[in-house]
Amino acid sequence: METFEADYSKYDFKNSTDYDVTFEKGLSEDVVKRISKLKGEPDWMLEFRLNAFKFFMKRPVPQWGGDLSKIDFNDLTYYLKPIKDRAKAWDELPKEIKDTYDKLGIPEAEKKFLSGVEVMYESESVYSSVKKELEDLGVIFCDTDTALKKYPELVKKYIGRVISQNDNKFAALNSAVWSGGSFIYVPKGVKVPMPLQAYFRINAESMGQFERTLIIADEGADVTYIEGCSSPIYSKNSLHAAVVEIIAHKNSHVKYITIQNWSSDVYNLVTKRAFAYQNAYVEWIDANTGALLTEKYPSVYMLEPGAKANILSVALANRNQHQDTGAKAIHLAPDTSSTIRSKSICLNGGRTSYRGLVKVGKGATGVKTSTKCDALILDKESRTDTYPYMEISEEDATVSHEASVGKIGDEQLLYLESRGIPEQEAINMIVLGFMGEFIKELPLEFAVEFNRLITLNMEGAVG
Amino acid sequence: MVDELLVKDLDVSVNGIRILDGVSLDINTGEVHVLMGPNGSGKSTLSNTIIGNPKYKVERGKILFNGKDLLKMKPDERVKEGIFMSFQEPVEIPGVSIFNLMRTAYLKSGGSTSELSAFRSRVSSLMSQLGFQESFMNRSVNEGFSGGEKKRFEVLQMMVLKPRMAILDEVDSGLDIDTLKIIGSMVKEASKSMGMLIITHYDRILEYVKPDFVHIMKDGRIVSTGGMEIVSEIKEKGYNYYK
Amino acid sequence: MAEKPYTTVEEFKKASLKSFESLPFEPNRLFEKYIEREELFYPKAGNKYNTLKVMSSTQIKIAPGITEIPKAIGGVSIDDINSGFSSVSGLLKLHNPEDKVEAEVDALFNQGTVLRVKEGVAVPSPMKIDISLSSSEPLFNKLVVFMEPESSAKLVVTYSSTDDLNQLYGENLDLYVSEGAKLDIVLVQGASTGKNLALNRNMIVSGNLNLTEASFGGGFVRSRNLLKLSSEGAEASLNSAILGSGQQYFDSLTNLSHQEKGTISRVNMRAALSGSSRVLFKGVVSQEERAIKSSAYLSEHSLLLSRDARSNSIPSLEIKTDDVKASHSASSHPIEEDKAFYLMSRGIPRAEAIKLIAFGFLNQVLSGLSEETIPMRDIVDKKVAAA
Repeated sequence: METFEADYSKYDFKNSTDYDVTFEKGLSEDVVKRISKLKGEPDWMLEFRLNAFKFFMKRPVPQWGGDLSKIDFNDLTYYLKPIKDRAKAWDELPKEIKDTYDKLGIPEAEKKFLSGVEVMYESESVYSSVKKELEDLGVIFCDTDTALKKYPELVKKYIGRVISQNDNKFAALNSAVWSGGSFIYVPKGVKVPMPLQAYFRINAESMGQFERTLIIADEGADVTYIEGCSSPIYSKNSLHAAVVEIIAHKNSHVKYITIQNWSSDVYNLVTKRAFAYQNAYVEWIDANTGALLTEKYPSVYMLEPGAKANILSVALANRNQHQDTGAKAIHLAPDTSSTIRSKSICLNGGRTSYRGLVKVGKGATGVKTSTKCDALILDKESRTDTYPYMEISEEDATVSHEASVGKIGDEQLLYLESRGIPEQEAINMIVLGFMGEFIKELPLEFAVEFNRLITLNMEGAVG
Repeated sequence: MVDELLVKDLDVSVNGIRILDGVSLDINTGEVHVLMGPNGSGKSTLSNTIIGNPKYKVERGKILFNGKDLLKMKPDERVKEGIFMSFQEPVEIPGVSIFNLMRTAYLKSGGSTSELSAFRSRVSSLMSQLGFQESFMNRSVNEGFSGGEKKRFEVLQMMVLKPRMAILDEVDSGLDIDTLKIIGSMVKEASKSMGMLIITHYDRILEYVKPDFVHIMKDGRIVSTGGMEIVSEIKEKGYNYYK
Repeated sequence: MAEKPYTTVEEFKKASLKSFESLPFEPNRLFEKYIEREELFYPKAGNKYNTLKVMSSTQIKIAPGITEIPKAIGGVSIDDINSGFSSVSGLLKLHNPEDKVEAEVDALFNQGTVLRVKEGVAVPSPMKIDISLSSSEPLFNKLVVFMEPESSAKLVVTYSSTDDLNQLYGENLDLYVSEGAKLDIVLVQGASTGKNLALNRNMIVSGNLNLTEASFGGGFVRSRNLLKLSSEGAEASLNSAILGSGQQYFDSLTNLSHQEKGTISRVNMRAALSGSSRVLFKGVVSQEERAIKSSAYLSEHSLLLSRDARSNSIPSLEIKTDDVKASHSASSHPIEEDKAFYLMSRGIPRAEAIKLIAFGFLNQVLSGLSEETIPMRDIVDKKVAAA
């Protein structure tokens, strides 16, 4: 087999933009205070940030996952604000920023069936257009900074409820310096008719991304949110420590889709967790194809009877990449059920690790849960691991777990080649087929984008 | 002595859905009753209820065996009284050998350990009559068995347990001619010394065992009772004929 | 690890004591959060072993322990560890203890056997070692079994007790199976519940190894199976049936490493748990870079028979090369009602049906073994409480 190099040329560009406010590198209590002051935040939020900062300083860097030793917290900038105010219409954006998004194809996407676009550039949301339809339904969809200003009570009620400031070192960091992210509130009984989406990217060298997303689905609500991101290639390491909290009230349905394609110098350390109440259904559909190291384990805590979770995780690790991803299904109430499916591919020395936890707590009777992990390993240099943890404290739980690892079968390749399909394409076909389950979950537009993304990541060097 | 199985005005539901509606039957020793009906009419529900499958809820009615209330008894207690049911879809029990199952059932039904070797020879002989090799003794119950093997094994157990009232749920479905012959003749022999309820979709088994009564079940009710003439009617007119 | 072999038992024990001091109880980060009651595995205060001094064999009173070591059979040499030490001292260098307790046993053993089957010898009948744990004094045992090339043998080791005194038993069982050799080993662990057991099995396999274990005794049973498939074509199967009741806790680790081409492993672990018993299955099956065309299968299944039984399992895989097959499956479930019902419909009362199903469940990993070797049916009858 030939060696495959990821082709980032489509995304490999930098803009020189004059940044409105720049902070020096490094993190301190002072930096935290300045961020809060600049945003004009209420005192309780400043306190929230400062408490988190204390936790961040106390906690050691975790050792159980990938290699985090090269992160130098003093060598990162924690805040960048490209323009003073947010633009309400597309044309108001500075040209460089518009160029960036033109290249990423947002305007076309907006013209089609997407309802509102939250765009985050550096650490601020520079563009938002919430369609009238959403407003009429009473749906709130804006960036988290705006939400803090316009709906402080709502934010105060929910922020940090699912993921506390002290949950882990990177959640603490995020809680201290967060900026931007999406805030979605769907009122009782409202079904949002199309997926809400957001694009954002890291641009400046050594920039950290700390967006904080909060999605609240009230009783009987239904919403799908799509997040996809990319960033240019740099020599210094970038850090992306996001926090996503979902509260799915009784009978609601929340589906959160992520296509992650950070360039290969980014540390992508994300804490994503949902609380599912009675009969609520939460789905995490998560694809990781970029970044140097990803550590992300979308979780659902099923807190009341009838809650359900569906977690589908897909990872592709190319040269030097380590995708350490997985899922957590925590059953804390009776008659809850969960399904976890993980598909991973590693090539050119890349490494994929599945890390999952299925927990059935005492009192959680009648639980049904199943996990299926499949890994493809394409060459000798690569590596794949599966680390599933099962903690079962109720006898009537039906728990199953299956995993398999293998390479692309020679017979399969031969069959496709015997129908006139060249080797590289045959491999792509098989890989896309392998990812089929995930692709089915995506809205059509994204399915196309995702297919292209995978193909991009699998392509051989030109010439 | 004559045994009597009396089913009276039975209403049975599963998962909150009513399946049987006022079913009544009266079967005595030496009688062969046949129950026929379209798929989903409730035939298996009836047989499962008689043997005490906990999935089926009796809403109303009685099942008495020689005057004793079966509904108050657990399945194994009903077997002790002399009831036997052969399953339409026997379940697999990996790791439990056929011999282990037979031996335990024998001991539980009052067999004595001192007569175990006599018991074993009896099982051996029945096995060969039913076309099983000696090596089958060590196979796990129903694991990897073909449809025919599963049905033959059900009949084997019936012969070993020697019940006084046997309910055979589609013991003849999916069988090839040779297997049918073996099972047919064995069932015929057995019917002389017990009461029998044969549930069947076709009439193939009836070439071997002549019924005394034929019942048609439709939508959870017995809609017609008669003799062999009913079977011919069904062949001609189909089940839709019955309201 | 080609180093100078140990020359004396003392030297070996001294080196092991150094390791004891520096090694952790649980070397693998993956399992750190599951550490429990570590102190059970060190001798209690007030006991003459508490000072952890290295004791030479002449100083130690051999505790009432091992009985019935197999008589020396033609083609097989069986020696006490002290006299047989030199014949295996080179082998002992192939493996360094990985955790504190393993090192402790190597530093303190007061009992031991070296069993060696000579090249080409096929031992016709099974050899038996009976270990009786019947006192309150800690007992540490070093068992070394060396199968020379092309040899074959079957070994049965049983653990039992005549009292229920609280006792710590630590054992390092070192199995070396050379190329072309075949070893079948059956372990029947039925100690009383007062005994806490640390069973460390270090297996280096170039030939073929089948290990079958029935573990139903003891209070806290900590077993570690460390297995390396170190030559092309080496094969191993590990089958373990655990039956827990009362307050028993079974902490079982299997580290299985495929190091060479074409190696094959099958690990099947099952536990049936009643009362408040618990099992923790930890497994790491790895296929290293050279292990192309190797095939690994790991399965761990738990049958929970009571409300307070608990099962935790972490069956992990680490695959470092392509062109391999690796799969695993794990499950936890209660008694399936349709199986219970089928048996009841044959006149078997529910309590008996549950025992039969539990037996069938465990028997699937013991298939092929006779009732004389492991009387599983009786064991299940005694231990599975009526539900």
